Amino acid sequence: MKRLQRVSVFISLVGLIGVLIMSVIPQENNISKADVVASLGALQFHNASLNYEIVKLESPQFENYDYINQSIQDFRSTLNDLIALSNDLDQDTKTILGNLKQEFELKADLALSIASNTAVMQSSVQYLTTAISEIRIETTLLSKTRPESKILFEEVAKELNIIWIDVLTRYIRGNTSVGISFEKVYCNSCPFTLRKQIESVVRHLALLETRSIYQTAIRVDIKNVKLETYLEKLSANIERSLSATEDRLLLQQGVIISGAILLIVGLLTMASLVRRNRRHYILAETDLLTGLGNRIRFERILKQVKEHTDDNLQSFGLLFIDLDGFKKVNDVLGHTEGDLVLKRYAKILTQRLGYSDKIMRFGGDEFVVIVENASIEKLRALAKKLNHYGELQLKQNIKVTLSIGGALYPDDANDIASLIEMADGAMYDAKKAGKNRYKIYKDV
Amino acid sequence: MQKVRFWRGLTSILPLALCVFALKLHASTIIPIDAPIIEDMDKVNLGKRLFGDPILFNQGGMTCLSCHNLTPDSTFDAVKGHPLTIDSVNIPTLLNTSLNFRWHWNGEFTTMESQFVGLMKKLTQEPMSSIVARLSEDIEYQREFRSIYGGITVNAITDAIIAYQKVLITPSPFDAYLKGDVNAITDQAKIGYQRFKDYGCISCHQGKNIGGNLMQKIGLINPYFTIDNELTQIDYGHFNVTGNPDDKFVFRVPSLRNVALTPPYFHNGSIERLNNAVRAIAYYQVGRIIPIEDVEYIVAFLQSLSGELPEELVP
Repeated sequence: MKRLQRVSVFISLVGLIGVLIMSVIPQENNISKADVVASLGALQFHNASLNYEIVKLESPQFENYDYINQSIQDFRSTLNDLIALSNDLDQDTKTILGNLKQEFELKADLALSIASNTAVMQSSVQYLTTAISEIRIETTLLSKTRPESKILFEEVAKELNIIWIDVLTRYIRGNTSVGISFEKVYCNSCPFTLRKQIESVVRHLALLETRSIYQTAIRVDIKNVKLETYLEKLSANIERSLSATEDRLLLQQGVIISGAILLIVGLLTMASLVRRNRRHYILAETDLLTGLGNRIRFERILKQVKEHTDDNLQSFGLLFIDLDGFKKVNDVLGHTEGDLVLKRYAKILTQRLGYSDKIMRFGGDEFVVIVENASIEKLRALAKKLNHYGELQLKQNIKVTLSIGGALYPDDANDIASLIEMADGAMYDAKKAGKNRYKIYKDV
Repeated sequence: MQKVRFWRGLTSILPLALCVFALKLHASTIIPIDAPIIEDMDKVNLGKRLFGDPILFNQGGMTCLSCHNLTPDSTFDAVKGHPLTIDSVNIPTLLNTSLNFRWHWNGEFTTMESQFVGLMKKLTQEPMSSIVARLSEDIEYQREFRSIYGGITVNAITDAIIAYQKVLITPSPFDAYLKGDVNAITDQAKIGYQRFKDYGCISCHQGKNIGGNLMQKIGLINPYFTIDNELTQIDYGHFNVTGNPDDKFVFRVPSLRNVALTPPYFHNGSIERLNNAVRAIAYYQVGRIIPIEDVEYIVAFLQSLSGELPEELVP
């Protein structure tokens, strides 16, 4: 029994501790999962559209660069949102986010360089298409007015045309430059305006040349930007950390629930044990035959009453009741009849006194009554009453009567032991004096 | 036999058709804009009030409007740097500024928020918190900020200012022309648009804002900075931001919307008249000396890019 008690206490303690600890640990992680996942998707989308815009710049067609800027701005703002959300994420993810931002800024710069470069190249191509035909017209006109320089002009125009087609094909094909020499097209004897025009054309051609080399270099650079790698790492990491968070949450909830169950089970066991204990305790104090209290309860109650009396400066009395001729009942009528007699007396005493909690079976055929708030007169009256009703006429002319001895506290004795002794003594006096009567210690 | 001829005919026509198609696409280089849809008028009004209130600067009655002039009598002139600013660049107009992709001539800021905060720090020489403190002393601002944002914070001030800047959009007759209204602009402007494309101006000045979405070096063909033009710190452009030698003399391509109303021109405001600016930029960037009549056409086209701000948005 005691072992069970200890186990139940232990179980409920474990449960309580579990519940307490898990409630103290913050339960909900503040990351909104949906937000993070949505931002990740948006990042991938914006990166894809940025890549598309970069590829689109390869076409020689005229375009505007709003979309490329739009995707850069969108990516940047989404990334900033994600970084703002990432305060709750782990350190690893934060590092990746930092790297991602760095790589992105690199890529954005390169993309803008490509856009600017493309714009320059397109304007040069635009310029050259018109300028070269203009020069051709001019040289034709000039060769008419100055026939002596006709060959020179024609050669210049032809050379320009060749270079232009060369550059154009390379520009369209993908910019593998071998270097161009412009020596042949400089014509010092040409008129000033033509010379200026040719100079401009040469500058544009050179610009186109350098810019296409530059463009190729940037394209290589942009391919080396590891934005996609970091994006993949980031999504893997976030997925992992989100599922880890979920697992932890689940575990936490499990511990809380099982802790609560343990606590309830432990408390229930404890309650049932206490109830059972109480029953045992009561049984131990009860006289099983008569249902009255036994000697153990008598001693306990006597102590209580004494304390109460001392506190209130009152007095209480003790009546010792002994059955006269009970031995004869047992001998002649048998023990069963004797038990019945005892039961009847218990009933009589209870009924006549009106209370049962202060009437106890002291032993064999002896009963004790504690009379609270008593006086000599009250004791006498009670004893007289009990003597009156305590006569029992049984079969075979056997008669049982009561001999009663009383004592008063604190008038007669100051402690319990001597009080009991006095009451007992008074009872023996009554027996000696001829039974079926009462004696109070004062009278003895 | 006839079939073969048919296919041959088709293959010869196909490239031509593609060219025509390409020319059609060419028209989409400039994207027309619409008048903005104002979502939150309270924020816009708050931003508008802040714009004209010296409380932001707390020095000599200076407001945002003392540089960014938006008065309706067609003098949106962006003056050359306020005396209080450190680098006296030609101050860009605020109209359509939200359509840009970078802010300041040197492309220093990539978001409007950072531009506002950065500029305020530079101009006031004090942290943003002191602006918040100044605004918190004003009961009316306190009430307005509390009703819209829940309190005065740096973010709230920035948001209000930007909400106002974002509605400063001026659709022009040229936008109507692009959307199909053939009579929206003059014939001269139409020729000017054609010249604008032919000379290659459109390769940088394109998009919604007709510029404003690229960084480009000034003096691409003919050097801009010669002995006549003395170099100052601001002339280094994007180099001042990155420190990369490749970024020297690189500036943001400015928007051409309202360009006829916003003299002077170029980052240092060195040119006062629009036709001179057209001629100069064509010379420096494309290497062309444009005939006077073409300049007139292009100016006519540029004038068709001017739009008006709605009455209620004018401070």
